[in-house]
Amino acid sequence: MPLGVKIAWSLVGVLVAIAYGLVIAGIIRKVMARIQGRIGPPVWQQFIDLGKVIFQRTATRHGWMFYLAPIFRAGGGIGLYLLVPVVIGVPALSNFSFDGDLLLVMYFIFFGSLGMALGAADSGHPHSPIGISRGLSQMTAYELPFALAMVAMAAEVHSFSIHDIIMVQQGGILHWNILTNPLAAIAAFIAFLGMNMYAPFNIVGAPQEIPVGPPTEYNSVFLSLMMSGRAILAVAKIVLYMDLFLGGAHSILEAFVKTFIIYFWSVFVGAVFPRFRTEQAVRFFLGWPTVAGIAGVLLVLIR
Amino acid sequence: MISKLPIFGLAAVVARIAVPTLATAAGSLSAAHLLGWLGGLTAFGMTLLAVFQEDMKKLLAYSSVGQVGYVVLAMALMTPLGWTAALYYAVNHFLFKGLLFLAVAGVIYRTGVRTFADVGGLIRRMPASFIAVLIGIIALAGVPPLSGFAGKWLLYEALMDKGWLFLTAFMMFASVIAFLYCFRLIHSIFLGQLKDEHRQVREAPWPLLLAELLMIVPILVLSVRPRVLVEPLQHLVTGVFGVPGVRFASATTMTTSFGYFNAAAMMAMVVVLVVVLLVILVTAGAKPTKVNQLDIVYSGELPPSPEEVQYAWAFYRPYEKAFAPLLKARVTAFWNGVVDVVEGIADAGRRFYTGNAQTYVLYSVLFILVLAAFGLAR
Repeated sequence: MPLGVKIAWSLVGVLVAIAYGLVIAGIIRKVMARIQGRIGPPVWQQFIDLGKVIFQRTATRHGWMFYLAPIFRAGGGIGLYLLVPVVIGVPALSNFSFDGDLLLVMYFIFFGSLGMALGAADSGHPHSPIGISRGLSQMTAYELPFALAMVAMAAEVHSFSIHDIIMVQQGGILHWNILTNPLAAIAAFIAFLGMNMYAPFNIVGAPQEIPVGPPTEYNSVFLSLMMSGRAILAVAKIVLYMDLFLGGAHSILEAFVKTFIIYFWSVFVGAVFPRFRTEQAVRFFLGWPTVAGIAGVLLVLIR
Repeated sequence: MISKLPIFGLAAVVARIAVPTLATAAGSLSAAHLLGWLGGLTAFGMTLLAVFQEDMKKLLAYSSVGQVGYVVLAMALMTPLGWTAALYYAVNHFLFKGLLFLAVAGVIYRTGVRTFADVGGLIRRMPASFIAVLIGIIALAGVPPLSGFAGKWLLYEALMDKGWLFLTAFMMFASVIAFLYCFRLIHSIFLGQLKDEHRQVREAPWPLLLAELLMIVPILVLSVRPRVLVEPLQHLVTGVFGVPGVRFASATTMTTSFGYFNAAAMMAMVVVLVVVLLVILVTAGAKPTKVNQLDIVYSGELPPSPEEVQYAWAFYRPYEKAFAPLLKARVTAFWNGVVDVVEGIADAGRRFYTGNAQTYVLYSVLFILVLAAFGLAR
């Protein structure tokens, strides 16, 4: 497939992923509202919000580094999505995943987080560094169970290639990694809760305390890029989890169903549990989820 | 960059002595594994200590010790890939840590302070130093697209290839902790609120900036083409092991038995994304008005002064709390114990020196009496 066609398909994929991410966020607001006994906003509320911030008549900015946060947040999300194959065997939907393996994908997750941290901190608002300090602390903690799970997955097939990890899971639901190595899957799915920053791990944004956290000072087009970036980052992560644990997808419909289920695991947990403080979250991740991850790696070693 | 010298010494010694014995004796193999864990624990422990430093140079010093831990670990792998990783890491660390030390030296030279809480917002006065530190920390953190990622990639591939699975995950964990001090370093010095006494600070002197540039250029070259460095290292490693660790699938794609990575494609993707998004940001929507430093949303109050608004002291307090049982208590208790013992001995010795001449006369008389008693006893 020529590079130009590939880029065009990827662009379509990116736009669809952003829209899908926004719809998911809208459904989450609806679900949360229903759980709390409210009617809630319509499912397409996120699009209305996005339009509102884009067409704001005034905008403010701080230093030139202020521009970096939206760019890195959106670039990190889009880049991550481009490195993960979406549908098996369809070159148009495998993006640029042959340019890097699972390690690159794992590190690209940080690209957006660090870039956003730098840009947001330039605003000079104390809520930004407070939120970043919490966010980075939490990130290091869920990285340990996550890394153990990734190592278990890669050791199983003796490859860091996401394609190889998908291919070994073909041939029915019993071959999926979530069933062949349930311990590593437990570690990874608990780490996923921390990654998504819903309750109990939402101290980073901490509503009612440091409103929205790092992006406090952002407005207008800056904020719209951040919202889109967050939407596609969420989609990229669930696609990655689908590839690693649920055997990838053979059609776009299958991809939608599987990613939706993965995402709502964190939403339902978030709806029920109260918030952890930072040090509690750190200790939580370094406790039982890490033990599960170690057991997952041992499972690979003894097989 | 003297800290790298022992690494090359270690390499030279191990290359001549240990490698031949390794093939025959199973005992020396476990010694290598022990060395690997020693390197891994150094990397983890020192990285964690660096996170809680309040002094710029101390932070960088702890970070350097931790980075050498990675190199020792990679060396201990005793595989061609591991050695390629170790040597690449050592050279790369020399570049970015040199850059960071130079840039931070510029800040200390101009401001006269080296505690994080005493600076802040210097990006407005020292933009060139800021960019140097930015490149340095991205390379240090190993975040794509800069040269640090290739080092991390080689290390993890080598660890997995060897089958040291737990060390792989442990090093991934330690590497992420490094993000904490990287952000601390750049935020507390350059971002946030500029203090009133630093409004007239000038950019670092040009010889320093020139030296920084000499470090930045190779970092950028390695970021796009790690092959420039990996290939000569391969020759060295092949000389020891007889086989190369990394293969080149194309001009820019490196492959190992475990994975693949195309540095140039990565860089191209990042550059395209950043340029496109920047164009969107600048052209779309209302034209943003630049506001003053203290014009922030401040819960309906007026922000008092830059000192009070800047969040810099004890930046990772919750993290410190989380790790308190692991680190703080033991290390501090150990050194407190050492201090107590030394003080106790010194205090016991001090009691003899009362400062009173009559006591000293008494000591002399007692000493003579003791000598006399010995003489009589014989």
